[in-house]
Amino acid sequence: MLSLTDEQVSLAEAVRAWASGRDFLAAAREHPGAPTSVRESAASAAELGLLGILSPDGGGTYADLAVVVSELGRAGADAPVAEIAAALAAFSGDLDVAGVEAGSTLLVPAIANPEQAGVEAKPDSSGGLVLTGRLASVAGAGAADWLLVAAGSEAGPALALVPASAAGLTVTRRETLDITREFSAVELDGVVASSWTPDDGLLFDVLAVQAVVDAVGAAGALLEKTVGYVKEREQFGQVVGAFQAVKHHAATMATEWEAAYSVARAAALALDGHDATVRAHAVSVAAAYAKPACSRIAGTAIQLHGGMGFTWEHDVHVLVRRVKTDELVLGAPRWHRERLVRLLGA
Amino acid sequence: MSDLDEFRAEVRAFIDARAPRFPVKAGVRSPETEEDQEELRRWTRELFDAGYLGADWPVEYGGSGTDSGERDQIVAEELARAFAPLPPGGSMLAAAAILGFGTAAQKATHLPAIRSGSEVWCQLFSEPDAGSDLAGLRTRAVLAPDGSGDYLVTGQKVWTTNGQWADFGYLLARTDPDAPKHRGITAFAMDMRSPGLAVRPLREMTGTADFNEVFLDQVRVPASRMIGSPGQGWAIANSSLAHERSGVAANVVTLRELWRALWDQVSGTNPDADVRQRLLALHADVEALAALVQLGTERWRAGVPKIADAPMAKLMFSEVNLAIAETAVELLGPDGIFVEGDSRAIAGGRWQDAYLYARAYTIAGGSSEIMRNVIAERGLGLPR
Repeated sequence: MLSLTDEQVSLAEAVRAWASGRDFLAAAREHPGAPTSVRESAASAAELGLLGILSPDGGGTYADLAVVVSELGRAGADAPVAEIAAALAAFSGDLDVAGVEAGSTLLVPAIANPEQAGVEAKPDSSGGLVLTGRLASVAGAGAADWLLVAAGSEAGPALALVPASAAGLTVTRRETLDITREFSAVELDGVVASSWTPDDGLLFDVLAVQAVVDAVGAAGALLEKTVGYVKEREQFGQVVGAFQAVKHHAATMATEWEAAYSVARAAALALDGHDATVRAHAVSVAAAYAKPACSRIAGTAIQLHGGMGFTWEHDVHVLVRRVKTDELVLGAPRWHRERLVRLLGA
Repeated sequence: MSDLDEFRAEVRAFIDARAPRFPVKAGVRSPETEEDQEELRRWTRELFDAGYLGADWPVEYGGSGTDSGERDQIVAEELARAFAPLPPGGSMLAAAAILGFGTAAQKATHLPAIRSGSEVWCQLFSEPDAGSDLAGLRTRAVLAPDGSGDYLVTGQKVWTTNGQWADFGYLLARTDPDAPKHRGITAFAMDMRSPGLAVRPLREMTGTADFNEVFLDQVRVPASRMIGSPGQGWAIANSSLAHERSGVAANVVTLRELWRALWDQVSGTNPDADVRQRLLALHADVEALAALVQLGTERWRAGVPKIADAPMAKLMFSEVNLAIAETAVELLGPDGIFVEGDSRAIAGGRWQDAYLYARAYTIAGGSSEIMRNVIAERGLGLPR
């Protein structure tokens, strides 16, 4: 069922209420790309149970987490809430779970965009891994205490836990299109990880879906703002929403959003399934459709806001930036389409 | 296997064994010969007899009296998957209208005949000047001056699928020109062999004649053939159109099969990255439409449909279908010019036919522009 459960509707309402008490978009304009309240936001999200939502006690599913992500995208939230939850669920090794769930210790996944080179791991003599490589952009790494690094090795892909303070590890904040979140480059030069687990590929798919769902959430906010605006803005003696050209733009936005929402929801549900091929197909289909669709919606949102939408002080461009960033990270549409070619067995 | 999976397997086997094998053509097409028409009557009867059509009808008219929504959808999907001919759409639409609004006598007369395929119905709704604005229809039905209570119908209808084969027409005509336009319309069962009624095949851009024009000149319809009451026609038409819902899910299957056929054709030719990208973007479009339709169907079954659900599905289906057909023809390159009947035609010319026919979907049943108006005005609440 693609329809939300009653519990998921309540969850969405709770997260929306939480986010509406924090003006993330205004804060982003104040400190573009360098959010100052990440720890506070994470701790506050922890009180709602969001960071540990996937734990046995949290009892949540990946589909539940996607409901949360959609609201975070809608609000332009600063903290890597969903990334933390996903990292916690992916790693079963030695870890301060209570501290991470409480938001006092920040753990984020450090995983390569699939178009880019990743991290190589070599075994050391004591059963650990030695990590070397460079990740061009990792969401939330700048504030993180721990990184869960996805690395390739001769023994297969691994998820290795390293402290941000580890010797040989450098985190450098990048300037990006998105001003709501912080992205940093992570360089690993012989970083030793004593704790690691095999990587079955689920974490990448989870994060890829989160990027899609985040874009859908932000695009949904843009659609609502746009429809509201064209009902009020008057030119030539009538509201601009009465012009058929504007109506058709709005109808196309709404239709593409509905399709993007639906296909993203299907992908989120597939994350909870057991078939990795079915999951990968659902994820890449959602990314291939919804990422560009949300960017089109965002572009039309700016267009229909006219000059107002072009100003720095307006919220629209802040969300447009986030949507476009979501499109490009964790597999740009082109990469996901190529993955579909492989999955369909050409 | 679940019950529904078993049902699907059973329907699939039935279609494989029993469906007429007409050449694969895009869309809803009229039989081209008397033999094909007879095959379609047989096929309609077999689908009803097997319980695959009309399962939701009352028991006294041969149904099982159950809420068969999921099974209806499976039947529609399996017919689409096999590119099997569909029972006459006009017959199914008329049956829904008669079941909902017909008299006991009308039900007793027409429902068994529709089931047996002995009555084929066409839909007499659209007019040359009432297409997207259907409620503006001008065909008049006036009481006969002889006091018999019969109506005399005069006007012109167009886009009549199966008009040349139909025994009855499900007619909308204006009975009260002074009423607001949606209120002055009445529904009738029109005998297509009545004096004064002429059917002329309408050849379309595909080169085939899948539609007809129907000319009505003082055609007499007995009062007993009125469906519902005077002025109720618009409501009846909307209600019976709502029964077409299972067709939306079937359209998704059609697009999946169409895309798969294109992929199978192209993927063996070592396509370059740009071609792969375009084809997989279309695949994602089809799957996104499938998800949109699924969510809309869930809302409809739960009794909480959104007003824009159906127009969005129609709009997106039409546009994606067009995009697949256009892409297919373009990718054929110079061989894309060869059509059915030419020995060089690829896949029997199906892509050229699909390309030409695709405009029927973007125009008929409310054009894409009308769909966008409906979505904006009724879905988003923009001013009319």
